[in-house]
Amino acid sequence: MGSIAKFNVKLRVVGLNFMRELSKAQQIGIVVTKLKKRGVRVHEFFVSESGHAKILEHGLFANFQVEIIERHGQRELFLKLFSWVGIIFGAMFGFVLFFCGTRYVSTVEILIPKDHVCKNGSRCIFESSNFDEFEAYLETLGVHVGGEISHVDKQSAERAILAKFEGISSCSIRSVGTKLEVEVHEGVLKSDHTAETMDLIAPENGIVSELVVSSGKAMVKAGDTVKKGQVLVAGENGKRAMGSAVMRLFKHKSYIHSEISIELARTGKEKSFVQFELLGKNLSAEISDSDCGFVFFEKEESHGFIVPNLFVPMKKIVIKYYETEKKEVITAVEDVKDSIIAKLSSELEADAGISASEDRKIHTVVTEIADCVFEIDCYLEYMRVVKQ
Amino acid sequence: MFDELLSAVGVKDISEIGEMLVQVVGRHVVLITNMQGVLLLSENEIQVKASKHQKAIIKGDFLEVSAMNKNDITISGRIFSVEFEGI
Repeated sequence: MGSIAKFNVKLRVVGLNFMRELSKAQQIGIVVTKLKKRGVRVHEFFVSESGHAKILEHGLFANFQVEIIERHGQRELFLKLFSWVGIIFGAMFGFVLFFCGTRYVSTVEILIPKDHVCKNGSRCIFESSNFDEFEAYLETLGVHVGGEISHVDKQSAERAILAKFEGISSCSIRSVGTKLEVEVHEGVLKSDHTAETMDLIAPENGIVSELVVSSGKAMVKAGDTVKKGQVLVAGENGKRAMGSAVMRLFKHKSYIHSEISIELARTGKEKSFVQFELLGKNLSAEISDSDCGFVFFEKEESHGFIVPNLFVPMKKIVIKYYETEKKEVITAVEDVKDSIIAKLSSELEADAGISASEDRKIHTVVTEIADCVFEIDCYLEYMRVVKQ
Repeated sequence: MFDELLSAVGVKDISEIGEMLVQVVGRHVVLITNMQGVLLLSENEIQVKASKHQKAIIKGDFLEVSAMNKNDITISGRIFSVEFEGI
């Protein structure tokens, strides 16, 4: 029977004298399979790719209406698979995700109560350094991203956390899908008795105005200048010092004002450049600041889509350069002194934590430290009662 | 066995004859070698040119040319008869 190649192309030919054309095809060695008459002047048959090429090359069935109605073979199978490659990869990825993804921890979320109020100051478990330690400890317990969910013994981990951190009153670990949620509540730590002092101590640098001692030994007298942390009344015979001290405290802030300042003002000249970006790639030539030709300038950039409100990933960037020039501006110290003093004094009062009803004194000194340069010093004097 | 039968009619090798060889396989397949072309093709009848003056007529139902090259042809379908006629 001779060699029969792979018959990949199914042709439907419509026309007169089919047999004559078929015998021509036979003479040039074209192998035909599954030849059927489908109707008057209508025939269908399979030929190989090379046979089809020969038909075209020799101009066979030139006066016929020829239609390729099917394609088969390895090449077609490959093309079909290739057109489905996205779906095949998606399905494979889905399988991998299903079989592997559900076994491992994807995220660890530490839940902090919304109404959390820090009860232990710097010893609070949610303070950054304590929290880092807590997170590191969780990792040692196997509660970390990438760990196997089944390997986390939640109950023993909870017990270990409660034993390790005094600041945690309750802890629960639960798994939600591949996520592990760790919920912690802060407890109140017992006060540190060792840190409590036996002496009456100066809270800030200042001057002692009055000193009343009920128990203990006075270490300073009225009118003395004391430093922060200095003992005012020392405890005696292991007893806590009792008494009160009225202190004059001071705070200071200064501001340097130059009467002559240089400012950049726009001259009115401007230049604009437009660039287009497609998917983050610049389509136009790069523009550097030197292209504007101004020595001093202000630059403004505005970004926008070509078609607003539609997803077309093409952006338009307008860069505007405004020419500026240096100008000398003179502001007399007398004109700004009051507003500077008001600002400084309000800052000082805020620093000292003085309420509006409390007595205070503001002292200001204006000194010319250089030509047209003034230093404005502002001192706040206020009273504080220290007692225990 | 086939060669012995051929030798009984005085033919040593089939290729010596130079004529068409028709093989009928059951009722559904006909293999023809050394043919010279197809003269007629329809669902009930296929005519194959055997030589300059002779043709083979295969009659049946649902006939189709399963494969065909320059000299050989395979016909499948429900075969009723194979006849020979002069052209």
